[in-house]
Amino acid sequence: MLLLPPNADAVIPDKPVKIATKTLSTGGLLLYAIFFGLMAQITLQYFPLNTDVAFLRIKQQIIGLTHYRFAFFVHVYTSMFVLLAGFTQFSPSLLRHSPQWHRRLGWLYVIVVTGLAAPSGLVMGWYANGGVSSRMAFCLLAVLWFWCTLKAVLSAYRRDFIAHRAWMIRSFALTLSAITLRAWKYVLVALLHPRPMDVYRTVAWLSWIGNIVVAEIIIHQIKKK
Amino acid sequence: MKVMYVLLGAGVLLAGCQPSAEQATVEMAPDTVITTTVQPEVSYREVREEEAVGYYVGLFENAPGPNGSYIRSNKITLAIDAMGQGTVTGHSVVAGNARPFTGTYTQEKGKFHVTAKEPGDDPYDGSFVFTIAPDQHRVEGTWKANRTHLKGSEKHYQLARKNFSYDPALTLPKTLPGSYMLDEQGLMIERQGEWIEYDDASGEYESTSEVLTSDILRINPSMQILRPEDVENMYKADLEIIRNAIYARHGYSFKNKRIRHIFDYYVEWYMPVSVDVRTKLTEMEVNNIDLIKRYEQHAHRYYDSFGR
Repeated sequence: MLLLPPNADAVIPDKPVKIATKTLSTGGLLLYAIFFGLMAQITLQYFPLNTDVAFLRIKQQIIGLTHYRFAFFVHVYTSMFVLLAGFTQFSPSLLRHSPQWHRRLGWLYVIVVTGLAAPSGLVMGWYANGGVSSRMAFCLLAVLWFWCTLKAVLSAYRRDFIAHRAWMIRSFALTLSAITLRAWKYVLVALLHPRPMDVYRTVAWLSWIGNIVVAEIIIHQIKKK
Repeated sequence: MKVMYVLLGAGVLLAGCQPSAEQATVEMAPDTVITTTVQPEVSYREVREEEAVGYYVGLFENAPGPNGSYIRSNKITLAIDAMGQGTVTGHSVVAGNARPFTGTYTQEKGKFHVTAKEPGDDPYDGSFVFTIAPDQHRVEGTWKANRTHLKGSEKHYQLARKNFSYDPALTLPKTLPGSYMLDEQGLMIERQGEWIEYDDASGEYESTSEVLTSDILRINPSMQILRPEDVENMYKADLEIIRNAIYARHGYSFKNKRIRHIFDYYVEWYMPVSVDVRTKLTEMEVNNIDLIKRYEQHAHRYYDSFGR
């Protein structure tokens, strides 16, 4: 579903190719659902509100800072809504049959990202573990995330849907960094067994740069058609 | 004629010389001195009880198990607390247990021979038979459990006298980095009822093991205040060892056999003297322990999982 344009039926008349693409898309959606579930599990650790649990156990020097505490919980409690968009917004059938839902859920995505998740992410990034390198990585991620999402909604407002699609692919690629960061960490640890902060410093960059590269490739492929 | 007299005289003499069958008497002149080789009489000095009082440390060794397999031993501190008038009181600290004992002693050849019993209300109590050699600063003997059906119910030991004092500067040995720390099973694992040693070559428990690095030589939480930057990039096994080394410096007797094995076998200065050292920890140590624990738990829970 990610790769099919809105007018998929008209553009791809060949049935076997369409079935294959649909199977891949369904598989991809299933995989996404699994990761969504894992992220939900992580989020649930922070219910009920507790300043000395999970990730916060190693942030005790700064959890006393009100603005950090505020940013952390805003980010953790709202990000799941952002991830929800992955199920709906790239569906051509939803767009075709209920464009108003595409817009409603789209607005939810945009408001949560630009108003809550990205700004709080920027504050958190400023205090990231691992030194200057990871702090830069997370702050840059937050800024780009905000920027791409803003550009995407502005393009839609201008009715430039080709640009809207491209910017949203970028925006969502950055959203996915939450998942790819953890996936990369898992793989790197299993293969190389590096030191904890060395891993962290690596995935702080790798998680979203890799996604952006893939996003640009996809956008390029779409433009070619 | 003369020849005949000589012969007669010789015959008489010879007859006189022949000993009878019943008695063999050696007739000697009265002033004969007999010298035979005899061992010189060794005199043992009288040893005083005060010389025996103190701590003696060594391995509390098991007799080989069935099929000649090796059962891991623990380090023991045998403490002679008081001795006098034929009675002795003391206590032993081993594998997280501290038990008192009382008994009697005798002195012989410059050594004390002790027979002592533990109270008997604990299922693992037993009785000691040992010799204290104050001149050699050694204790040697055996121990037998009251309940003989238990595994490891008979032990023997050769202990050397050692004073305990808390020294925050004590560091871990250079031989330790490179050793494996295993997850839960410990360095010695029990398989099919016998203890066998972990085999690096076969890599049987490799997937859950971490190797100790030289970080454990660099950082001493008993001497320096730790910051997050010091510990955040350390491996979990290293963190666990440096944290437990704090307790080891205070003479804590580990109940956890993985940690106990490391300190019993690899750390020469370690001696178990107490089963609870919490009140002995310095403020610096308490704070460092809290910090290390956070990163240790974080690594344990999240290092090799999907979480951050």
